[in-house]
Amino acid sequence: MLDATQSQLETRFADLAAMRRPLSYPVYSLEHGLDTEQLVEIKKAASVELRGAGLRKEHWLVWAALASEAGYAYAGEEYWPTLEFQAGEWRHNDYRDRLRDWFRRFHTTFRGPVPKGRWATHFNIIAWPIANAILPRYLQSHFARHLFDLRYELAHSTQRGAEEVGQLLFDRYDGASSRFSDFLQQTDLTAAIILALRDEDDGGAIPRIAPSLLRRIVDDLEKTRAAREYLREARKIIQTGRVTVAPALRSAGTYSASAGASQSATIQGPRLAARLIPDQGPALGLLFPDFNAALARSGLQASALRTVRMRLPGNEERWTPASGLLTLSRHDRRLSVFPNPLEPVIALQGADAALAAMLDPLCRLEERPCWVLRRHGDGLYRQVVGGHVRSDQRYLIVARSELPTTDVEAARLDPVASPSPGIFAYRLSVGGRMLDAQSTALARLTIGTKTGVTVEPAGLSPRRQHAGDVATWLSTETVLLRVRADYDTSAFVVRLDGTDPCTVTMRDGGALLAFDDLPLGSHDIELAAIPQQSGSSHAQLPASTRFDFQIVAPQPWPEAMRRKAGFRLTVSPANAPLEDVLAGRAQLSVIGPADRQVHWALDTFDAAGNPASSGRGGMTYVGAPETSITQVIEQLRKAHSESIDVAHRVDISASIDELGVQLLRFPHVVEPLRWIFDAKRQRVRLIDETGHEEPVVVTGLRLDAPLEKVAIQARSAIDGVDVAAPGLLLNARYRGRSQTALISVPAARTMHSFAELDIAQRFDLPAESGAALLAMIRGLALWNRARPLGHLAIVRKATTVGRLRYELATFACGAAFMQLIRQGDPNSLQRAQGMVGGSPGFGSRMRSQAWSPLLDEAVESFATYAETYRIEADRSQSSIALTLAYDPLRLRFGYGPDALTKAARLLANPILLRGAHLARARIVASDVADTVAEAS
Amino acid sequence: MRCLSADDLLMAAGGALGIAAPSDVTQLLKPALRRAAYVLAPAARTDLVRFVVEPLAVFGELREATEAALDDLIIYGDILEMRRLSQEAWGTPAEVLRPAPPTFVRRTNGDVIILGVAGDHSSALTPDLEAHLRDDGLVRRLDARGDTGLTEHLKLLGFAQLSEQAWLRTPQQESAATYVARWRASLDAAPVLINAVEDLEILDTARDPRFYAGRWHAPDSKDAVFVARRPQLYGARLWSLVKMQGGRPHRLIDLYADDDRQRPCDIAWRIQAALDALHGTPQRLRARQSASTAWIDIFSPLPAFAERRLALVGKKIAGSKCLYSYEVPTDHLAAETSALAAMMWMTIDKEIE
Repeated sequence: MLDATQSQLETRFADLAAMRRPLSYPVYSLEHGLDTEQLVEIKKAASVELRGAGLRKEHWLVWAALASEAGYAYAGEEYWPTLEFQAGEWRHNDYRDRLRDWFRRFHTTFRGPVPKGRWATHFNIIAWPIANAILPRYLQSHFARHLFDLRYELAHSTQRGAEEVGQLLFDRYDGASSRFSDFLQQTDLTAAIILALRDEDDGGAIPRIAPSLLRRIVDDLEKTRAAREYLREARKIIQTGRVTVAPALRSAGTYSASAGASQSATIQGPRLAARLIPDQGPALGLLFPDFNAALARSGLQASALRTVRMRLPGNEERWTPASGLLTLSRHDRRLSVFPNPLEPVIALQGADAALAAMLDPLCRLEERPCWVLRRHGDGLYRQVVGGHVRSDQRYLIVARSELPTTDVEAARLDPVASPSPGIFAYRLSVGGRMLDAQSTALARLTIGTKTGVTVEPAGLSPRRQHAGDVATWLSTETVLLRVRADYDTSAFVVRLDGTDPCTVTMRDGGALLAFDDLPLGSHDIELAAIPQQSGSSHAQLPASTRFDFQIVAPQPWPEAMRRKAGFRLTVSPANAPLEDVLAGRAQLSVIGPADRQVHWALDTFDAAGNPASSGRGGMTYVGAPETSITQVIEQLRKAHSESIDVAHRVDISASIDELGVQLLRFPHVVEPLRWIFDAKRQRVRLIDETGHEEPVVVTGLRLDAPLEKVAIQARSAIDGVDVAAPGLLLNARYRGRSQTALISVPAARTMHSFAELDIAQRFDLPAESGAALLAMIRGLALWNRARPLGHLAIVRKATTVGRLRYELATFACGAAFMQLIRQGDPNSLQRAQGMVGGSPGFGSRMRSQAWSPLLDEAVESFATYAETYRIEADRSQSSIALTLAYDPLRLRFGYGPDALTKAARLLANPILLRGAHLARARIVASDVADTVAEAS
Repeated sequence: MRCLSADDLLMAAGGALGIAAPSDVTQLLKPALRRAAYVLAPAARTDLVRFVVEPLAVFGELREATEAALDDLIIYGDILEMRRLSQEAWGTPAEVLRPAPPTFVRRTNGDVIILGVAGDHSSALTPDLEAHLRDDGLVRRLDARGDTGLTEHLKLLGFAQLSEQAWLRTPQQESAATYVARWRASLDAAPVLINAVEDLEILDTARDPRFYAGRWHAPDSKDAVFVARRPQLYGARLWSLVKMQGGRPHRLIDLYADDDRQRPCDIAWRIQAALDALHGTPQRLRARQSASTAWIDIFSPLPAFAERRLALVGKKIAGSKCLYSYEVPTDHLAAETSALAAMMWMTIDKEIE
């Protein structure tokens, strides 16, 4: 059998090699043409031979085929077990070396691929069968995604040859998978796959990869949904192809944008800049020249600045290393002081004669009667070097002396606030056509006017890397331009990339032009307006302009958005108080560009809103589990516990490098009555700034007995009260408003064990059940709103509130029932369902219904079920019962006998109460299940 | 090269923005703003608007419509307002705009809301899914209720999931008195104004809350706290809270976007709702319903959190004898109106058609 297969493979590979040789296409041993059943049988037979006689060179092609099949199935972990039919049969190193020799022979005989790159060097045996496997399955999803991301660039590069395609795939990978990155180093191979995918539909062409094998790879790729969609879309774009203008078709002597015609012959000195700051006025700045280019043109290295120091205007005392000039190059910076006439804006010290001669003109602002600054798209006004204005633009005119009023009015200048002492500024908005009177007045102010042809984007604004850079469109966008002249014209002459000019007739004072399907790269359009009085001729082209632009391929969005996207900082549940965030009951999460580093900070503020403390530290990643954020917050809480306790506001902020900062603000409102705690002296004091229209009433509750009242006189509280361990809740009430604080006083300042975090508490209740329920609900409200002060106060408050909630639920539903609810697993909830009572359908509904986590949305269904199953006819009672289960803090029973009656009535229906608590437990259980499912 | 008419230009620009056959230029505004947010980020609001409006000048004045579209994109979360970093360009506003990364919100009914910007691409969806994407004017919804594996698939495509609750960002429920008291306390802490505030306009609590535009006027002799607007140099009018005394502003605070990304106008409108409730003339909403469809008529502008909530279940439509309306399924009417009533201290007028 193996002999026959060897013979069949020799013929097969020889045919493929002969067919592809003229085009220099390789042959892969995976192109064996054997079907799955044959392969199983052959692998079995080969294994028997291997274990009996060892590797036999007579069957070398059989092994090449089997080894490449194993390479195709390779999962990225261990290669040899994939090749083995019986475990351990390929442990023999001699066999492995021989297999590599046979792949080398396959290369020389049939022009098989040679693995290359870092991975091939390190894994110099298995690299051969894997290179012959074309695209191993474990890399297929990566490949489809990469192909999709680069589809537009590939559409162009596939027309320029295999070498460029492979290199593009390699160069543009972000390295997220090192294995795939290694694979991309096989640029010949990856190019062959791309080109084969592109050409698959072309009948008659010599295929780069056997069609049946390509179909097999595509089928495997399409087994996962994402890869399937990526691949289909990418192939659609790549196969579309684009017709490009061949260089031969371009007229001789055309302009070449790459020649750098836009490069300035001389490097200009600093230019003025300005911004109009909302609610302030104009602010002036400087655009620094390109010091880097100036040094390079002078043949100097950056090290020439090593001994030189510089000083910026407004910084009279401070000299800094002149290497800072390189950082300032082509950047703008606000000017705090406007430079005096003839003085350099950048003072230099220590430069030798040659360097000084080169730098001096670059450090001086050109002195002018007035400077003209044009507003650019980014809101920055930049100095127009020629000092002229054009139609349809906005300007800021800056001068050292006030301009004559008559000229200002005639030129339609609008004075604005002075940007700097002794400096005058005016705004100018030039319309579509300039009147003679205006241009004459501007001329008197030494401001020139230019007329000519205007080219502007239509439909979509182009991109620009930096202001002033060449306009850029994507290859997926049509270049849409509006051209017009600010004088009477009849037509335009348009010439793209130096090709033959076309004449375009004017329509409504201008023309809209579209340039479709331009190839990637630089382009230029020359335009000339033909004046109406002229006899329409190409020979004389007055008022012409030239517009340079470029076409680029769209970037893959994940890569592009990493640098651009904003991010969200959210807290769940929304509106959670600080205490919940710090205690880990509320989760923070950051939604933004994947894998970016998030830096966390916690800032506290005093009563006046001034920063009191600032805690930096802790880093997570976007997309990391929420627990990692919880840990960071926990560290910040521990490090700033005391500052947090006394803060009037706490901000938790997340920042991602250049993307910005998002923060969550947790305010503490300053009230006329407030508690302050001196932790060192363990003394609490009530600050009373009320109008004394009513007496202030103070009550206390013990931390070790959270429902037990302590009598405290308001007078004593104002003087100060010593607090004994473990602490006290204090409530001061004035004119219907309360200020509540939890004063926590641990027995020892230093915690010796985690057990000390816990605290023994007893919950003594009134004998009458209605009164007991009211005491717990009112107590819970007090403890919940208490502002934690002192060491461990936040933790202790959370513990107390949690226990009170549980005590309340236990009181309403019974301890055995709540024990099951607390366990929360499906089994326990099923048992709890059996304990609800009443109609079995009611309990079943409570456990099976997908309850809304929002009380307002859940009430309607709950009341309907209670009515249907004859548990409670009064829908308001059902609403109260569900509120008790969902959010007892929303319950208001009022005071007096009515309150007692209402409470007793609620307790009289334990079935309703247990049903409500089971419904609530169902949501918690679902959340847990979702979290577990997500985590797994 | 081709010469275009204005209609051709609309088609060509629409094509580049992923809209096959736009019927109206306003359909381009939101896609163009998403594109602008990506191209310019970090950008000031005015720059974003200019980037979109200027090349569309052929179609007439679109600044106002673009401003409104940008508001929608910020409200619903396609574009995020971020705090400026200290190293950003001088004069950069305190809040800059950045595109939100591709994100989805899975609704309880199975619908998926697609938010964010995918760089150079009109969406981060694969073409198969993009065919199911529809823009209802407020948000883009992916109608794929039968697609059980969609959540995982979207995550694989690189989308982040935002919970419905986090997206809604509804404020904590509290009484109108508590809410106003907090703002009054802030106002009382502001310095007493020495100079007059020019061109101040106040939103008068004493005037009928069912005619929003008619409530704005210059200050008169009333002594009270008002929501106000005042002009500023080189920028949009500011939203403020002002305490009037003796016919002139006594104390004033400007309202700025808060940390829950409520815009100044959102804060102002909620304060006004609370002031109206305390004044005994709470803002009203009119609920109308037929067998399957209901309408909520709005008379005063709603803050973003309320609009987001309504957008989840309904469609914003032009109103009749009101500011605007929301069309919602009848079975959602009670929940939505009671939520609005609770968050904005409104009263509900019911009509059955």
